[in-house]
Amino acid sequence: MVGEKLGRRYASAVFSAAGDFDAVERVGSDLAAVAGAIDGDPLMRDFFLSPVISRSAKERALLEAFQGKVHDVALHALLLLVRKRREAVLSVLVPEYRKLQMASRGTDPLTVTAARKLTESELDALVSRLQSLYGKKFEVNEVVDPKLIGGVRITMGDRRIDGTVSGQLEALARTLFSPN
Amino acid sequence: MINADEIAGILKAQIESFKTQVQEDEVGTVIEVGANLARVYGLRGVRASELVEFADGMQGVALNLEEDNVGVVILGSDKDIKEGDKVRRTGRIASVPVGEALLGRVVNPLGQPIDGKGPIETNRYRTIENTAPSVVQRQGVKQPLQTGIRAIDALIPIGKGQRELIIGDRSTGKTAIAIDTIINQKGMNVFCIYVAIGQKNSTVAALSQVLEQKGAMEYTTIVAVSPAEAAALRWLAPFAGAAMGEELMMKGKDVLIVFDDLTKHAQSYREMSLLLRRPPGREAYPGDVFFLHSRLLERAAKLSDELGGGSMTALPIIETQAGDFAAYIPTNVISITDGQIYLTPELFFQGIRPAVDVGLSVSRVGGSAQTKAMKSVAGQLKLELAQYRDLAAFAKLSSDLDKQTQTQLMRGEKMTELLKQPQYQPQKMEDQVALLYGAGKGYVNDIPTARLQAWAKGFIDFLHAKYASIPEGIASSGQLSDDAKKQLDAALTEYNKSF
Repeated sequence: MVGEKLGRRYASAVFSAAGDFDAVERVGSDLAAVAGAIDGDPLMRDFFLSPVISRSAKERALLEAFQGKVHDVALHALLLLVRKRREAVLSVLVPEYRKLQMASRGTDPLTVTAARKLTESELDALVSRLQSLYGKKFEVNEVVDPKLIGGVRITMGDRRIDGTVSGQLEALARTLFSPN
Repeated sequence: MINADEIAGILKAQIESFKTQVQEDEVGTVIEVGANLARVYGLRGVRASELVEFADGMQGVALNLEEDNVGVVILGSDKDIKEGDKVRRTGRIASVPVGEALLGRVVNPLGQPIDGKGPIETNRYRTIENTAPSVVQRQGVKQPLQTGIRAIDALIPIGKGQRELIIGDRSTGKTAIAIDTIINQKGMNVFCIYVAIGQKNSTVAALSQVLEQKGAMEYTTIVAVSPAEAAALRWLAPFAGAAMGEELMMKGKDVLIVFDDLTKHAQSYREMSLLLRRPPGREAYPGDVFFLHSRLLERAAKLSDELGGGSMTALPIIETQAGDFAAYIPTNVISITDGQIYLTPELFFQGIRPAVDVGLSVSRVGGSAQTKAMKSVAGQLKLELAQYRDLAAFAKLSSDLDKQTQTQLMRGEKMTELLKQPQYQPQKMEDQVALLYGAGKGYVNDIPTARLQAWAKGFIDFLHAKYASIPEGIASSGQLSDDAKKQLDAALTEYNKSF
């Protein structure tokens, strides 16, 4: 988690700059898109993260690729990262930026992991119950993981509610192997 | 022997009784692991010193709560913990099983048995870190704790609830004093806890055998952690031992706890602290190493009568390097405790064993706990030994000295000889009193120094055979009456004629 603290600082700076231009959503989605594009292509990633390639070459490439296509604040943030040799921070900056966005909207992240895709009504029922239970609004991120065998696992920040078959099996294994 | 069907049956019962329920946990992720420490991302709600559980069931203690991660010391091996593993909060502070079921057992700092005598049947648990009894919960030290060692009981008396440091270089007999004290508690209704911190497993095995042979194991618990185990366990050991002792103390019992030794404990804490990147101070120990020991030893107490009047007497041991009592940890613990027993290699190699330096050793509170009988004979002994120390440098020139000086030297020599005592042979208070009375009255003056040990042993046997009422009287009243003195004089005269 090296650079987490750093990522948080960059994210809050970019977030407040985006707020000044009234473009919080746009900058967020642009940064996520750019990070996704860079991360998705090994060549791009090597180019962007490599310390061998000069800053000016990177800056030129970024300008050529993204000028006019992404918001100026997002582009300047990328150029700043390159100039400060902090390219690696981008991968932390994006989720931190998302957290700030959610905090400003008054919502919390919620990950629902299930063995199969939940139907809309199932998901709605689950989320609305959780919202009333915790008095919070959630932004749901859905994940399907067949390894859970059955049931759902809910992750809210550090809090984890485990109602999965695999979780039960793990707990059973723990009690069987415990010294007492 | 249990057969496979029975095992299967037990497992089946466990599986059937297993309750399926939705678990709600607070979890974090391991981002770094090594040297029995883990850095964990998340766990934002975790409290200081809280117990956390790793995916494989291994436990740890959250020690460093930092801005974006938590430093966890792992209570065991870190070999099965991987980066990315989940870590679960337990909401509990580390605790150990306590109660009388632990007597006669050898356990690790987590209270798990390591003596192969099966599980420990107790449902009582106690957190290892507890606040020490407050001022109103205590009373002054007033009852003696007999070590059975003449040099200590007479000159450096220890009271129940006292903290008396045993300090000295390696192999000067520090542990021997503690073990003799434990052996001497047989039949005294004092429970003993011996905490071996980073002692060789072979040493602990030998020691538990000795205690077993002497019948001392039935009232003793050994908390042992070997040097091969994690520093975190060595750090926990004395606190776990103290928790076990406190449980008995709170029930109104008397407890003796030996920490062998706090030097290794401080070193383990230093190792942990440096790896946790806490700033090093003097001798690279962390800033709170004083507090570490002061809060541990403060838990030794003599409780007020309203709380049952139980007590916990602590005998911490400190090992010095080449007699350097002014090093950091020794001075810390000297200032925390209520006195110290100094052992020196010089005395040890002169054959004066236990090698107690009676000049430098003190007991700050034990005097008020000494029995009247012992007090009445110890005063003169103290005086004569002090005079002897002043003159000892002249001992080699004894032929050129005046009569009075020669007498003082002779007396000092006899007294020193009489304070020698073989290992594993603690002596009852009443026998010590009878012996020291005889020595004080000059009945030893004509006995050759080389034969003094034999004289002392013979006299006690003689006394018990022919004048058994005298030691019994001293033991029951705790006083040396004029009548008893007369009888002792008669016995000594009679014995000296036959010796």
